[in-house]
Amino acid sequence: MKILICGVLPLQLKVMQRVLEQDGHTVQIVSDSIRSLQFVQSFMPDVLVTEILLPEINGLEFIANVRRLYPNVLIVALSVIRAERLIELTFRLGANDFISKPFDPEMLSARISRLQAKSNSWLTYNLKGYVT
Amino acid sequence: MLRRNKALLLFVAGILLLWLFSLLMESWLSRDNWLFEGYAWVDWVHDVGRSYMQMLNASGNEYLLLRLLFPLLYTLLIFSALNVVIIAVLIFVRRWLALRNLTYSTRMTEKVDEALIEYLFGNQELARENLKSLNKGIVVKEIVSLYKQTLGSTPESLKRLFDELELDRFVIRRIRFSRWFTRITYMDAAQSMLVYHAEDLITPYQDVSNPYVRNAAQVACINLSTGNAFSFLDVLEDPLPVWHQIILHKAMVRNSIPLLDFYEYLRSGNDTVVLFALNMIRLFSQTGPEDEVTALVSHPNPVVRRNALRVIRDLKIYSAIGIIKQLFHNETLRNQVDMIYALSMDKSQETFDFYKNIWVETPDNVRMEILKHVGPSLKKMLQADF
Repeated sequence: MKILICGVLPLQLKVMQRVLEQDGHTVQIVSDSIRSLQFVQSFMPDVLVTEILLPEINGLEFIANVRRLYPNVLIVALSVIRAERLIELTFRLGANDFISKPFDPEMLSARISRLQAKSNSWLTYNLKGYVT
Repeated sequence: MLRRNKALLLFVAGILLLWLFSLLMESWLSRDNWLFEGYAWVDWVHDVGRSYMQMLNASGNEYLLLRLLFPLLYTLLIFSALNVVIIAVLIFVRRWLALRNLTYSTRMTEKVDEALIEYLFGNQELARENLKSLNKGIVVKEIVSLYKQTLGSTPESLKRLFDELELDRFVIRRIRFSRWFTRITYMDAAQSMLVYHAEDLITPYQDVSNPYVRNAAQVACINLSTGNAFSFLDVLEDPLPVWHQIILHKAMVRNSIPLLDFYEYLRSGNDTVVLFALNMIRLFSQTGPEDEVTALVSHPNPVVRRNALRVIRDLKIYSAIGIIKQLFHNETLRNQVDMIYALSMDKSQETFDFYKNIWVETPDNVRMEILKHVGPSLKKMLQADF
């Protein structure tokens, strides 16, 4: 699976990259938030993992833009803020999952796999419905 | 006295210095030769000044004032020109140093990150040796940053690495000898990485005049203390800012620190400590002697009174209802609203009668609050008078 990770702290991004690569994913990291949308366009990931608090752009706007332009990309949002309103807004803008920081990088891999499985079963269910 | 007139003293000292320099300048300009005579790149300053002074002297009384002030004006001119040059050079040097430091720190951070990744996912021995040769300040910064952001096996490995590299000693040294802003960073590092033996070093900083250092030390001691983490509240004379109260609360929750008996601090002479204690009692729903809270409804500080009313409401201290009714008329408008909130827990006939009695002389916004807390029949009755 192709995963793009957008965030602020390079070391944390590299840790996530290593953990996900160990699980067999192709991972690219971006710490330059202004160019994140371009990266999505060029890398065409299956999963986008992004922080909500990005330095130069609004993370929520970024999620909404990715959802609008690439409806099939699974989006996982990360944030240190655990306010219910923020989580609700993130899901409403198109995120598929929300992980609050601090988090276990290995858990991220498990969450992505589960998300993928869920998405596949949804696709299979809909395809079956279409065929029958 | 001396401190109050500091600006005036500085001004007078400046004028005296200027006068002294102008005397020196006069004697310098009246000489034919001086130290750098013949060095054209600096001698022209002397020559120009000297020729002008001679010209003014030759003019007799025509330019008397200018002649008298010339050495002073020439001194000012040279000082201003020198100032411009020095400031420009300082700006360029500082900027160049900042850029050089930034480049160094970026390159070093990249190296440290690579070594840390190697430690976490590759050859630990090699990475450890590599990290020993890198800048310790950046190693601590990166370890602490990742430690705070992750859970699971990663922070455990980072803590082990921190101990293996003996960075606790480095952190303690930096707390002891650095300037205040660096000290804060390393206090935070000590509390994040649980350097327990730094507690004795940090404890005295809990009562320093610099609020940033004081607050950082207090938070650090909460995490590191093995005894009473809040002992600083007993002796704190400076205000405890609201933002810092939030940080303390967060530190308590995050580190699962056993709760204190916050009722003990309700008698503190420091109003901000009383406010902190009231907020903690309310947030943790801590029970204790109710009369201690009730007594604060008549505290001289209106903010303390308001917070006491909130505790009364949230903890449902029914015994305070009588005193709230007594003090209602002398209270500020804002606190009257909080009093109505507090009284809303009591649905007795006496309280409804109290609402009826105060209704006429009550301002509109307090009336609105009252209407929220009464039943439909009383509401209708009161609204008829509205």
